[in-house]
Amino acid sequence: MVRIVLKGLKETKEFGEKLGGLLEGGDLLSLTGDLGAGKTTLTKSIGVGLGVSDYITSPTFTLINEYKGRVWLYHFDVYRLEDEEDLLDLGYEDYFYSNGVTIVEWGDKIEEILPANRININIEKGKELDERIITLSGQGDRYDKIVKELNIN
Amino acid sequence: MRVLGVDTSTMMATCAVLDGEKLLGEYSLNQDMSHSESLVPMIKEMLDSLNLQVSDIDLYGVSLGPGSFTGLRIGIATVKSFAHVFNKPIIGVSTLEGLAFNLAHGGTIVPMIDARRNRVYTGIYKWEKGRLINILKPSIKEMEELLELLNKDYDNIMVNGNGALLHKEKIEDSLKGKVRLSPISLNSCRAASIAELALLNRHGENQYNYYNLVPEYLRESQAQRELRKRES
Amino acid sequence: MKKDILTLAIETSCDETSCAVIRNGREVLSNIISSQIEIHKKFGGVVPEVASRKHIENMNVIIQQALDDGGISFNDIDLIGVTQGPGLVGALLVGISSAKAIAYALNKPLVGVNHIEGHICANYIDHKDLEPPFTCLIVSGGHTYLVQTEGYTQYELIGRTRDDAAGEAFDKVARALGLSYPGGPLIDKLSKEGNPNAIDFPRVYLEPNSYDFSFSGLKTAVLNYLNQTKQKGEEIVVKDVAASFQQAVIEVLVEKTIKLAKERKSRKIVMAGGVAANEGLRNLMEKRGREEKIDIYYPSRILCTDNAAMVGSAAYFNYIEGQVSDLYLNVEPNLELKG
Repeated sequence: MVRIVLKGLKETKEFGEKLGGLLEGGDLLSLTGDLGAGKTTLTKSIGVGLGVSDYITSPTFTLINEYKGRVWLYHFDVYRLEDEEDLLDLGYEDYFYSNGVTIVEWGDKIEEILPANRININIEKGKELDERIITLSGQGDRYDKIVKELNIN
Repeated sequence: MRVLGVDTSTMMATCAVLDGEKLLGEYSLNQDMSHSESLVPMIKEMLDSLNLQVSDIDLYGVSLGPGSFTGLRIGIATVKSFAHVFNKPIIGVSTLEGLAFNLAHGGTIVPMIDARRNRVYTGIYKWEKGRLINILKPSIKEMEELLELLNKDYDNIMVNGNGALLHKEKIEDSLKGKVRLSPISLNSCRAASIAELALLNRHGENQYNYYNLVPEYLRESQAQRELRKRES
Repeated sequence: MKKDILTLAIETSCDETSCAVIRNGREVLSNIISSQIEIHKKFGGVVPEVASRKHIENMNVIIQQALDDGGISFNDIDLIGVTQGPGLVGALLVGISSAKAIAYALNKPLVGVNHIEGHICANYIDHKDLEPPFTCLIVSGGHTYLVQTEGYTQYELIGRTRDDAAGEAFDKVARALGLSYPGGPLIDKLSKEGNPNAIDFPRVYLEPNSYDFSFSGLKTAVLNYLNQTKQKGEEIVVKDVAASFQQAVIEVLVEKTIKLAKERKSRKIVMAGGVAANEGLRNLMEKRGREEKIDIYYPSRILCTDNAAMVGSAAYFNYIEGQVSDLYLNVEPNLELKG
């Protein structure tokens, strides 16, 4: 588990872009945090790092947004889903096990269905305005590698 | 009786037309999930080449699953609408049964469809008195669990399906002389098998019509779900 | 004498499964929407289940209902229209596969339609004399766009949301206020009783010349306000928060739309999408429209939501301008407005 404190919007952006730059096809991120914590905002920066030029908008209603970057980015938001049935209806396996990068907002809602090898990112608001506390956890070679690269700072 | 069979449960999109017991044509294309684009043009090309129209079809057979969620929806939605327009019967066929049906093998038949994370959708079948019988109900199994079961209780095994191909080495290592892989031509879903099964089952207890036919996704059992929860 | 054109339209881009029969682009013979129907009839002797998200598997039941209510059969259909995108791949596929199969079986033309274009065309159904050009604001849970509509199939995308769609902001704020889903209409209702000036929430206009929108900052401001008020132990007057929030949203939506209409010298502003049903938005837009001498249009409530009739209308107008699709029509989850 790794804890990172980001002071301000600029640092959060840079963190997201750096992370995006490190991601490869097949990676899956589970993004958690309260309403308003900044999940979609972080995803935008990650998208930049992945080479997505399109506007990344909230998938709360659309459920899944797909973007073309260096690799495909599949941006899920399972906030509106009621249960595993709903997720099945989306054909999630075709995304989770694809050659794209999958980011799942509110991933904690479907924890058991997510692949074991993944990266969990929790975002919390810090005490200061615009401060964010990122907690990284997860398992697998990719997780280990990314944590290592992110810590080089 | 003209039968149109369709299977889009795996990357192999396949369609076929039977005229009674005669196969008029079959198209199979392994397409990396672009079935959504080309399934209807593929069916049209086949029927056009045979000077047939959709209205000439008397009976429809379609794969219900297991398989790719997305793939299944494409085939099923397409065939349901054909049947609906001309008010014809539609028979749903298990993908696994369709795969097993490909193989005219005297021993045990074990089709396997990749279910990711080292699991397969699988069942056990056998020909008895000219009919294909299901010995072990379709389910999702971990490869190791399946191989252990096969090793212990079965012999003279033939396997097919994209799951068998994916786990070829494991299967051969584990079952050695007891197992044979199917020839390439019979390893994938074949719409001709789906069509024939539809023809054979058309008078049986068939709960589906073009209004209510739905995919049959094989789901994990409660026990499997619990195990997955504990492990994550 | 021009022949009537009957369009069978299918819409399955997200949550709804819908099928409609339209005559000549503006007359609705039937419009069946999955969440709105109760299936009483037995179809083929078997009662289909209409369980929440599984309704997509009732596509053919819904198609038959549309034909029956429209008093026609498959043979009467001249054209098939279907939503090609944007939307959820898994949902779009069912609509497109069904539409392609029907088009091929009947040997009739097929037109793939942009869901957003469908929303715009909903207005042609409710307003028989409405013709382009006009400025259009499309606002829903999943989309927020400002579009300059030049012709029946000619659009220019001028502005869009950079983060949350307006409808989504409504629902998230509603959730934070403890209101049930869907929260948008509840906020609209509460706003009538509440004080829109009680709390000064930010109106986010972005850069001076931008027609884009951003609602996530407003959403955050509301959430922060609620947290801080709770921490201070003060009472949260839900209707005032609702009214103040709604005011902040609709002011920005209206002002940008009016600004674009004036810049392009449009005499008409057309609204579309689920949030176009919001009375606060309608009232404010109409008030400003009166001030600027611009006519305001919006669809009836049912046509604001996702439905196939609007898709049928869009399909018709594309068809008569010679724009048809072929049987290779594919889903486009990210389809952009073209033209």
